[in-house]
Amino acid sequence: MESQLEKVLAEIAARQDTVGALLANRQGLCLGAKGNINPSVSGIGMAISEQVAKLEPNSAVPATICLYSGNMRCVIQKDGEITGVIFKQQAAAQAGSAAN
Amino acid sequence: MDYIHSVWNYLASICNCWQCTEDTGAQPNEPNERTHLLVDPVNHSPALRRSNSDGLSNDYAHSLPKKDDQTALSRLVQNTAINMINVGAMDCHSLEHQEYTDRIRLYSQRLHQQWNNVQHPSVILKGLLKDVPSHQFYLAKPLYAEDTAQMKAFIEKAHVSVSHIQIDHKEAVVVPFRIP
Repeated sequence: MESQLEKVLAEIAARQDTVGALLANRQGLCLGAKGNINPSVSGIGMAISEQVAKLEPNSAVPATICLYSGNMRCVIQKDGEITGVIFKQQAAAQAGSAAN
Repeated sequence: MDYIHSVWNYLASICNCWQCTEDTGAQPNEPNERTHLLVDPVNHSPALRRSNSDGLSNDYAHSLPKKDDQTALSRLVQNTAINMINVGAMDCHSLEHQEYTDRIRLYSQRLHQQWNNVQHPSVILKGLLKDVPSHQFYLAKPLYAEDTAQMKAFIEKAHVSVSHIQIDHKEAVVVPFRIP
């Protein structure tokens, strides 16, 4: 049924520096989540992406939002019906160089 | 004592203000921006005058069986008459075109005068990041190409996988009910 979606989420969440990945539908409901990410983030992620999409209403390319907090960052993109949210973490070496 | 004095001043200013608005409205011959369009519509209603003369209840007194019904009916008629505004019965003051344009000019002139008298607060540009401490730090954050590439791949694959979601039912979806 949703095994293919689970596989995609697992593959994306297993990438380098990635903490977790999540997929939301048109209503902001969580279709699936993998890794260390709260499924209730889906609604907020969808709402943020909708607000950002209003900045460039005529743009055909979906906007990518990047939120920074400490050494973590959150990447959001909404394309059509679905919204993807990825939590990423700064690699230890990069974090050390940023601190200097 | 000061307090009472200030309250008295306030009341006096209110009375003055009320007086001046009354003065401007008290000149019926000279229409201005405060003139009412409908001049006392209730008194101009012919239905009310008729019901006030009580002619209706006298005319139909013999045909109405009970006194209570009669008073209730007459009250209904009176209430309707009070709520009715007969525009046609009022003396219409149709404006000539010249008068109309004159009034437009006069009113817009007055509006401009009032607008110039108002103390406009100075427009202060508000920045979105004004209340964020050390916003340079956040603005200098790099955008990683791998992030956007990862997100692009994620969304593309997600579109495909979401379209493949389907229900594979193991039992009969339609359950027959025992309808005799």
